Amino acid sequence: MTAAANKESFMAQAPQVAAALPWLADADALQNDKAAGWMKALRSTGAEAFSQTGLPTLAWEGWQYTNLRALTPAKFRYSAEPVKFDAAKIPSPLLGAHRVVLVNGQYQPKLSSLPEHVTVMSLMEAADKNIAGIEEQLVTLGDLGKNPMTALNAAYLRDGFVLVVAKNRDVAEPIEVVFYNAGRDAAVYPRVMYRLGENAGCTVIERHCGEGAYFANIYASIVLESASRMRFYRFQEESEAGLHASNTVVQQQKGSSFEGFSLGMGAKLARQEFRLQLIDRAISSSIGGTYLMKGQQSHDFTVLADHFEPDGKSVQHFKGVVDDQARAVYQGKIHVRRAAQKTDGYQSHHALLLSPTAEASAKPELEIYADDVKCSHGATAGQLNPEAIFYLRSRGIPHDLARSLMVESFLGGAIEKVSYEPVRDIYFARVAAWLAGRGA
Amino acid sequence: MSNAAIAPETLETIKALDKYEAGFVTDIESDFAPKGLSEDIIRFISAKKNEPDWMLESRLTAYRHWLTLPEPEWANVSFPPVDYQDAYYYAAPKTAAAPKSLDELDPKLLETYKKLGIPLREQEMLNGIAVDAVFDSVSVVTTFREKLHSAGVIFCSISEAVQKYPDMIKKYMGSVVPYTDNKHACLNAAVFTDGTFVYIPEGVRCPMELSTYFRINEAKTGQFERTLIVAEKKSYVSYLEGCTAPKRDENQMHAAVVELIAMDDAEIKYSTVQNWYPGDENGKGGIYNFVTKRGICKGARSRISWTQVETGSAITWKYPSCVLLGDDSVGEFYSVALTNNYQQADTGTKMIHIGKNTRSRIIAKGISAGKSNSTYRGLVRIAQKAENARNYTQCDSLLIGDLCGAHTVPYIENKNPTATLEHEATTSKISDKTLFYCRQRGIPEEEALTLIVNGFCKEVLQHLPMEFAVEAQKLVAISLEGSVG
Repeated sequence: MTAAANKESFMAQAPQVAAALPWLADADALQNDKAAGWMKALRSTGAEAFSQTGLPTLAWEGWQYTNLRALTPAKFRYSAEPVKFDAAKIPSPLLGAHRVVLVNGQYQPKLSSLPEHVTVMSLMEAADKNIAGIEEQLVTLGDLGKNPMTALNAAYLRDGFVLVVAKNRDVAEPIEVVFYNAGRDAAVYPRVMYRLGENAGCTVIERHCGEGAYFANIYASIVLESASRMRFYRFQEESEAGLHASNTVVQQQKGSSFEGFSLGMGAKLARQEFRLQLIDRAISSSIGGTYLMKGQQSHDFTVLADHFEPDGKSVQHFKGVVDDQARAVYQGKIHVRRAAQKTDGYQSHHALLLSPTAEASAKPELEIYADDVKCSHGATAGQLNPEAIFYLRSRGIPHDLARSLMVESFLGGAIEKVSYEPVRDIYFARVAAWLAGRGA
Repeated sequence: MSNAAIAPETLETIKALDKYEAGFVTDIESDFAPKGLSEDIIRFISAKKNEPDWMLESRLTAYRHWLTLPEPEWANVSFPPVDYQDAYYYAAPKTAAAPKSLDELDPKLLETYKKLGIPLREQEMLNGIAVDAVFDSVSVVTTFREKLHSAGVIFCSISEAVQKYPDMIKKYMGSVVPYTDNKHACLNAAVFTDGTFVYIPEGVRCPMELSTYFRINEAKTGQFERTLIVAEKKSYVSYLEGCTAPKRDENQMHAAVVELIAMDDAEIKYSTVQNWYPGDENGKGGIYNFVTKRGICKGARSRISWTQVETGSAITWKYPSCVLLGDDSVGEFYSVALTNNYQQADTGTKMIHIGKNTRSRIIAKGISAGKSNSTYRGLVRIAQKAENARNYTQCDSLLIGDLCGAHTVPYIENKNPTATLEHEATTSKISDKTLFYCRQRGIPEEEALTLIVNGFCKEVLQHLPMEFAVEAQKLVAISLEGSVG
């Protein structure tokens, strides 16, 4: 731990990291496009910050459990050219008809269709028209020195979209957002933004998928204006050779509520970061997730619930299973600022190890500066209870089925929190399919 | 208003409010090394202690490595960079020769320890606890040596051990905390001046509690002592450590290293009541307590238990740890960290499970008052071979007032599916209802607070030897003073 963090301070002071430069190889060319001045400035800021840090190493606090070896050397290349792809390969909709399709981060209006009261446009178009306070949103990225993935995404700021739900509108049908990656060692850097107007409501289903080898580095901001409500469900089902790094920042205004859930089962290496910012009073925010890891896969959920003002409530609820030589990580943090009295914060993480070589690490963290708060966390890790399996077998249930039943009921504890039933059922189906594929 | 107009009792009370009772300075003539840190200073220390060449060499190796290490910055503490050249690395009371008994000890020193509540002579009479008294850089006296000797127990200063038992020192010192471990431990390996060595032979249950009392007296000195405890097969020892320092405006550094080694079926119980000067209510002065403590359960069924009550120091930064190497070995950590005013604490433990059926238990209680910050940081690591390892962790934080912070940073790493890991943490404040209940029964608010906090810490305090438990409860009360209203 000690030696590790020493290097962190070292890195931050270093002028430029040689290993960072190949990642920025295509950033200069991008600057010749027609983007607004402030966008170009933002790209330079991102590139500069990234060149000083490079990718995080195991020595970084917050990165000690996720090894980015799979990203070196930097063979992934970015291209601003319109991507060629076979539309037939884009997975068919899970539910309903409304969807937004991105291929290699590029918004595909022809493949997209939207319900009433919802506007979607590409990031560049939104920036041109300066809708939804986009400039202000895009430039607020936090400390880039500490978030190299965000810095790298900013260096290639161009692709992605902006989705706006008009105020006082409750959109009943779910909107599916497909992030399809066409492989061929592409680096894709979509920047997406969801903005719900006052008292608006919607359900978004994000699907991350693709084929072949690629590196998807996604930065999503969600702005929930006062009293708005959002349900946000993600399926991280990237290809076996795919690499996924996403940052999702949820900025919540007064009285808004957010319910998020993510399933992590794809990619060779994935890290999903969520930052819930409860910047006003009486906000409720919950994020849950489950991971199913096998082979050499590695998955990391890193979550921060940041309470700025009084009367907020945040819940983090994660459960997952790890098989073979796979690895799983959960890093959760509740940050209660001085003013955030009467905060109610909860986090839990439970990992199930199915093989002797599987690995699970957790860092459930509390940082609390207000005294009238209720915060707690629980974390466990272990194997299936042999007695319970024996019990099921003594009732005539075969071993494999008994195991499956137990894993399903274990994960069920997390998935049941999904309030939108059609999606909950799909999550359960994914778990069942995964277990069947395991022959477990 | 003149002083005469104020009732004398009021003046007394106000004086008594300034409660760090150990804050006095003993006026005693001392021997110093020149200020600063260099290879020459290390040679000076080594020569002063008449050390063999191998010891000097190992110090210099550590020093050269130390120069290459950057300052660690990951902890949740902040302080201006330490100027290592602006301190004395050796300060010792001037004495003609090492005292053979208490009668030869400078009466001023006896007086000092008496004032601190460690009456060396009485303890000798009452057949209580054997004490090694470390004053600034050197061990001034060790009591009960004969009695311990007849039991086969070695209890002496590290300097003496280097002379008398060089083989054991060579074998064990640095084997648990190597000089490469971290910046502060490395500095200690280069400049340590004294400390305590304990050796419990096979099958011996140490006949009494052993204790070291650390005292920093001189200004601008750092204290760097080492403690090494080796418990052979089937032996048992309980060891206590206490510390105080005078009130000064500048910060002083205390960078100690403690190493524990437990062989098959051995048990070591290590208790600390840390009451270094915490600085004043404006955060001025106080001790930087940067200590590396680690025990290794080398043998099967061995057991190491750390209990700590941390009420002092401007900054406490330490993680008493257990490496559970032997099968069926047990590690325990019980901690109370209380911070008030501008104190900062980043403390916790590491439990490294390597052997089969190893078990560990962590109970950590953090109490923050005033403008202080207290962090629990703990690692539980289950290695791949650690079949059926178990850990239970509970860390609770209590906040008193709305300007303080309480943080919990557990790291849980599991590489074995048969391991069972449980972790729980809570953060809360003292409920108004509980306070009201006490006050309604006629208990003043401050006393009620102490009562509640002591109740909150009970699980930890009960693991302390009796004498220390009483002292610890008092310390909790004193440290909380001024945190209400």
